Amino acid sequence: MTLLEARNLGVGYRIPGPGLFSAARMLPIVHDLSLTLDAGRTLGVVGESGCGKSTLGRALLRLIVPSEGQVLWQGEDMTTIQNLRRRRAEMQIIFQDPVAALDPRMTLARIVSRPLATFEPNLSRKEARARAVEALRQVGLSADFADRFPHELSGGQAQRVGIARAIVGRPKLIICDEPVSALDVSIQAQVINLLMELQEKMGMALVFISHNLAVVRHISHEVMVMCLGRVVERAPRNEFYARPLHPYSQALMDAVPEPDPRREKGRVGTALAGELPSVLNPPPGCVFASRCPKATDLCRQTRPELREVAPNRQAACHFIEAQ
Amino acid sequence: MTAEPLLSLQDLTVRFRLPQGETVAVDGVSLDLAPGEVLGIVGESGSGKSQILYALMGLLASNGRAGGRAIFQGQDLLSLTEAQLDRVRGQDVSMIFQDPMTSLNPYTRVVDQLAEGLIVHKGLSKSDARAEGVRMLDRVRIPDAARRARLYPHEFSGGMRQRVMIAMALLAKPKLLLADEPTTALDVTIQAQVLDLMAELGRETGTAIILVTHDLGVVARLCDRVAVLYGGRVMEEAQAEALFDTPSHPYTRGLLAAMPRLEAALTPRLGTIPGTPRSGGGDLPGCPFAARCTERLDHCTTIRPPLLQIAPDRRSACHLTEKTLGAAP
Repeated sequence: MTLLEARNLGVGYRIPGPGLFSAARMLPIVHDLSLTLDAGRTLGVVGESGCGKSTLGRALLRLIVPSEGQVLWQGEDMTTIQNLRRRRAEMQIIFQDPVAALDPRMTLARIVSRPLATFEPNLSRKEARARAVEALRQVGLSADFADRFPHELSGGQAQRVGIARAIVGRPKLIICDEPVSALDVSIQAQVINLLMELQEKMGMALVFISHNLAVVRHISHEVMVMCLGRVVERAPRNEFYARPLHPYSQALMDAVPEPDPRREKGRVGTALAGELPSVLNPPPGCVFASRCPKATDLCRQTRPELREVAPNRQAACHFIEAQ
Repeated sequence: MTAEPLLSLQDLTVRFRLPQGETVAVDGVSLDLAPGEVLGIVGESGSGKSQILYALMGLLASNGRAGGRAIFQGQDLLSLTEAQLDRVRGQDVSMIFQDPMTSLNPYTRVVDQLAEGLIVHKGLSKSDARAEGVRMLDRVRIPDAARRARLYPHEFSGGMRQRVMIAMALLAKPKLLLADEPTTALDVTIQAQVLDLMAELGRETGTAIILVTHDLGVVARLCDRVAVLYGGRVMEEAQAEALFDTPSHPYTRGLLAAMPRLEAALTPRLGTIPGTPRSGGGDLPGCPFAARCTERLDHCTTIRPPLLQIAPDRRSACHLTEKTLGAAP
């Protein structure tokens, strides 16, 4: 069942014009992006800084109003959903900086039960607290955490509280925006395992936004690679990691250092040259052309469309058939 | 190691005075670094890994104090006066930091920041120093170096700023480069460029490097030898290949199991280390990792395991290995 669908989504921010008195203009961040997500599945969204992955996550929840296209939540247009505030119980988000995401003056029980005041206003305070304690327990924090404050927590514990707050309303979808990037390796593993366990128990879908390809591999059913606001490849997890098709996906994969000195020492000098073009000044052709080892004049002038290149696999590259 | 070490840390400690008492961030670390060698120091937050570098450079916060010895070319860096230290810093020892923007002066053109060290330490004329600076920018592959040299730091991207930092650090041809999480703030493709550059320049100039990082992948790419730090102490030290092939300490094994990978077979769950990393361990009688260790023995919390030689060129601080070593003929 399709839970979430984006159709030709465009998202941008208003920025000041070039001159002191010129009018504000729109800086497009996400271009013509379409996706579908089924209930209970995890879509990994990967890309480098500035690729628009976090903006996409917020636009999917209508925390930013898209400038073009549509987001459909269980078939309903997000812009016309009645009582969206209360329906947000179904769609939650967790953030990269877990401590900044918690109000320092509230106890954990209040932080976690706060969304229930909107989602289930008929609950008594006692019931809401019980639900919060239960949610804390589900993320591995015992009941005596309920009356503590955020400053008493480590980063990993704070992220658990963020997850507890997201699951307290029993959501169908959680957008995870770089949820483990600020955490130590041993804590990162705990949080990834927790998210996978919760998904198995509660059946929610996840959009897992990350710059870390190895983390995304672990948690996702499907992977979407973004570059400068566009999807360059989308594929089921196993197929993608066995053989990434887009040269950008391949370059990203090659750049990740693995904990294996023999593999790593053998490939010094293989790094991509050049840097990503600026969002302010995107190239007319393929977003990756300036750094792609295979780029031709065609790539620099004409943007390749995202198209089906194999069953269930899409990529935006002029040369994929030639491979 | 047969050659005389370039740097020898002997029982290095770093303590901080805090309102609630003293805390030990680095607790008796002894490590040797050979000329031209690349040593990785890995650990999670609070392990004390960065404080080792700050102690060497005399950059500890004002409530911090370093103890023990750090013998660099025959002199103890920890006992130098500020003036003596100034001659070592920027000449024989350079440092690069995680965030290049906070280490560059935003009001000064890049070329003048590069030239400053050469004018002060090497007595070059301004124009010679600038020319040398531009040459170095070119070597760290800043495109169009002559023009870009006249720009200000904010006009560079993050990856380029880190390359400027590397250029600046290597200009004086130091014997030792201290790198504190140099690629943590960068995207993977840019990280790969910077790591390649460090490896290449290190090889060319014979500069020894101490690389502090939390990323075992970065260690695998760059380092000859690795020390794993926890709670301010060295848990294990080995050649990179040996450490990754046969990690001996339970903490090293835990870290490697917790790391998601691109190429290994997928497991339903990642390996985990229970609990949270601790900062410092000096107040503990036993092993700082004992509280999180799944292979803990009874005396791990009461008796500190010594860092023992367990094979040629390999040391580990764990009662478990001690036991198996003792059992071996």
